[in-house]
Amino acid sequence: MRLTPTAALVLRRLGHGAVVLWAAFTLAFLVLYVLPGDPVAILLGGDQSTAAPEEIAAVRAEYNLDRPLLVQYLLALTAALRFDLGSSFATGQPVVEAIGAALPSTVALAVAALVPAVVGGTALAVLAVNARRPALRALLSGLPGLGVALPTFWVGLMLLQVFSFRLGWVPALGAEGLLGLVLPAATLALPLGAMVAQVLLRALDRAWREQYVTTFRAAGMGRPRLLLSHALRVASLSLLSVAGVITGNLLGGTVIVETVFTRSGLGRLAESAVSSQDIPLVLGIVVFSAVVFVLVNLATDLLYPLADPRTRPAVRAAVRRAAEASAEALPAAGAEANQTHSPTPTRPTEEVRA
Amino acid sequence: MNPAALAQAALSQPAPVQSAVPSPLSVFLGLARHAEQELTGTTLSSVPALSEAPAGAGSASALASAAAPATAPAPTTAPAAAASTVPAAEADPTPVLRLRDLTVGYPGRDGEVTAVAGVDLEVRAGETVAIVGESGSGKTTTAAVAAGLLTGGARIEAAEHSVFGTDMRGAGERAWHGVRGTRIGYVPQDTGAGLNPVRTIGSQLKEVLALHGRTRAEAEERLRTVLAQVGLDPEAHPGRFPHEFSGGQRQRVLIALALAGDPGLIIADEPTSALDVTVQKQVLDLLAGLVAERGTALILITHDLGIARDRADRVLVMSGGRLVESGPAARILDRPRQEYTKRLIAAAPGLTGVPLLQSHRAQGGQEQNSAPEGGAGEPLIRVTGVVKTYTGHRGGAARPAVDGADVTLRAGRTLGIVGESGSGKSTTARILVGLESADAGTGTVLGEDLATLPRKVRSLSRRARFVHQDATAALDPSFTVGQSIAEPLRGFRLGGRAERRARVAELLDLVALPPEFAERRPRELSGGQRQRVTLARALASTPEILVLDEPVSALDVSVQQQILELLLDLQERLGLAYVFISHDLAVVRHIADDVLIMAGGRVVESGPAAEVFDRPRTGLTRALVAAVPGTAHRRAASGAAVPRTAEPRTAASSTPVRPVPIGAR
Repeated sequence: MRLTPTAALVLRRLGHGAVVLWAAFTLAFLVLYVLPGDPVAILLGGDQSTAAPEEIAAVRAEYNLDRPLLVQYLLALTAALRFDLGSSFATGQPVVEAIGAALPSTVALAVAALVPAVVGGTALAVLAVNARRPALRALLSGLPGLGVALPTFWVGLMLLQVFSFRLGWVPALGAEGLLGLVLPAATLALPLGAMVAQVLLRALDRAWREQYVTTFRAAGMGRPRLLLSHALRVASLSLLSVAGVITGNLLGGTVIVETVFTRSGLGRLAESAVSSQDIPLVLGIVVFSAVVFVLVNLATDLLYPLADPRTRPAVRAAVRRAAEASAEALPAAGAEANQTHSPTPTRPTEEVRA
Repeated sequence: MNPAALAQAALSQPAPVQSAVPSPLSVFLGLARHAEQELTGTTLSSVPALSEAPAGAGSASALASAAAPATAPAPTTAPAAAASTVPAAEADPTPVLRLRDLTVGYPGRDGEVTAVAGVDLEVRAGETVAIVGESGSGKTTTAAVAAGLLTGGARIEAAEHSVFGTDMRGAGERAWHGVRGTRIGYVPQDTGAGLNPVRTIGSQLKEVLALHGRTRAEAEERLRTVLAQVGLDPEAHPGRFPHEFSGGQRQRVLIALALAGDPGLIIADEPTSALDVTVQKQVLDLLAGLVAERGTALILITHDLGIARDRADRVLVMSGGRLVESGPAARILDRPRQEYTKRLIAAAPGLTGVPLLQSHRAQGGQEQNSAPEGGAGEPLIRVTGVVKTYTGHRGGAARPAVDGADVTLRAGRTLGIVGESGSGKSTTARILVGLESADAGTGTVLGEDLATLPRKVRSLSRRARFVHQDATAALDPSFTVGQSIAEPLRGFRLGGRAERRARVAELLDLVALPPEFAERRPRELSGGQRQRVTLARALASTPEILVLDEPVSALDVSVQQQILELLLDLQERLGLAYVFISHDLAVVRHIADDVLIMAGGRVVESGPAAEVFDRPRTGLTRALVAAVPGTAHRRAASGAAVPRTAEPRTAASSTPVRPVPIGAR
């Protein structure tokens, strides 16, 4: 069966994704199960537990902890293939269910942070590139670096301090609905926006020095239009290529933001799972994060050729054909020129000799 | 643009009488002229201006004459306004562009760096002016100022800068807006980045057409016209992306973009430098055709004296930001008055004149006679029927990159391989040094069988070294020159530390670089010096053959000549044999004993250089020779503004008078 270049690309990328997921699962499993600390002790209520040995043995058997590590691994892996990530040690709730319950709140937070981050970051980059005064330009160009450097928890605490405690505009903790989303989203959006601005600023700067900018400026195009329809369009490609990194920052950021603002969500779930050594839950969240990563990167890989025609598989073949065609055109051009010109350069030399 | 509205805006203000800033008056005068041009044309979009423009023009000329005694540029602009009632463009005495005493300075770390100093430039309708100079001569800066592309950053001063009679001194982005694209079209050199890579050329062209006030339907129509004008396919090509075109086609798209706004002046900055000679000729013919048909003025920025001689009416020679000499092309290039121009012309490799090789050998004298005859022995390279086919991706029709090439190289000789992109010349050379395997063919290279070359590449590479075109890319920027040169010594384990150091000094001396260069880094070197370093590195392992891939094509002519002379000198002293690959026939003619002309993977002609270039047997070689800039100028020796379309040449006018080559075989 012959595959179209696009189908082959999708299949190859899916294969890569599967390998990444397997590797993430395996690494997380090894780290978690090799970690010091007795899961059974945690299960039965901490180090001071006074459970009877039979009780401990029963729990061990229930969670397959009495089997060899390899068997445990294989059992967990095959279960994971059936979307069964086990049950939480702490609550007994199936891990998939726990993640599912925490997800909507985190998705809302992520979207609420991502949209202003992209819009704001883009605006900052555009402003910085367009700033006429060198001082203003330097200031605006410096802001993204500062924003990336600020620790998220500190930003969250500062925002809480100013907007909740001093000004009382938004409730400090536990608020539901849109109002409660504002400060957490802002906290998360700030470093993300700074990152977007940083990437875009650099790409715009480069695009702005590209020759085609001169071409279109010389053709009478004004700066705003050049920026929107040429420079920004090319620069946004580099933003697309860091979509995976942005997702990572977003996921990592939710852990801190949800903890600082005591919001329920995936990040908070991860935080509590790690601190209580709830191994199946931690493993589940790691695998889920890996799935998100793989999907985002898959989407990027598939979208990129749409945004940048140079990377289209079918196009690459066309380029090769064009190069061959232009090489073949040469003899024709030569023949054409031969008809119109007939220099006779030999004769004068001979005359001079004579 | 709405000239009438702008005109009224200009008139509503009292016209300031001063010369340093562009007065609304002078801007208006230009616009009034523009409105008048549109009236004589057939553009529908100019209809609203019909009732307004003539009245505006009348009052403007009244104002202009009132202001005339007080303003410097007014005497030139006022007659222009008066003449604006005359529709014929030919009768217009105003130059399309006039720059007087232009000085451009960039702020640098140690004070201002002057890029251009006191340059005068004037172009009239239907005239082609070439600005010639080497890198850093200020020619591109001058062009950028003329096109209004150098704003901000640089300090620009001129006694006069008028575009179609409009004073553009100190004009801001807004004032230049009505000029760029519509009055001045600018064609940049195609470096592969002149077009937006992620958009089709159709959408980019249409966008520019929309800028010039075309509706969607008009833009569609004009797009086809413009593409047809530059020899592209109006049906298939608009939907393609820039990377789907060849270099020559992309250059045509860039010309089409410059033509989109129907400008009266085209400024082309090195429009053909990246192109093969035959494509170069097509592009230059295209530009010349535009000048002839439409009376467009053309400024041609070039480092190629041959192009200037063939294509320009007048030539400006620039060096170090100053104007060295200017005048009719024939006068400047045939009877230069300035020392610099003479040197530049002497350095330019041409298809006429004594080849460097022969003057060099003639100087070498008696002992030299034995060396060429040394070639009578067993050749270093003798291969026949070399074939190389790259397997096409996904079963694409595989066309051989090299198709039955025969190559012979004798000791102490130079074999030139000439061809355009895709002709197979580089692949052939790579096969000869074992970097590629040949699919078919027999023979030996330095005694090794052709078939086993790829396996012997390590031992072979010590005796036959490959020198790449781009010396900048071929040198590790973090290595010192000494480290780079010593690299093959380390690689082949030749000598100890002290010996290597001595050898580096010796090699630097061999390529005429001072010994202290060993401590420098590539970025501190000029292009010519870098190429000397790569030569020194190639010579480190005392090879018998150097394969030189376009070794001088990135260099200015004077540097080019120095490198060629160095190569000849090294050949004489070390008895080297060269395989010299180039697309430049003139360069090859100067250095090669024998020549292979390749096209489409085949050798179309071969033989002694003098014979091939002076008596080409095949049409292809003749076409290549004819396309070399500098060969066509004899037919237009008058230097007047004659149309330079591709009219058939008569044998008499195209025949260059050649001196008898010394030691011609």
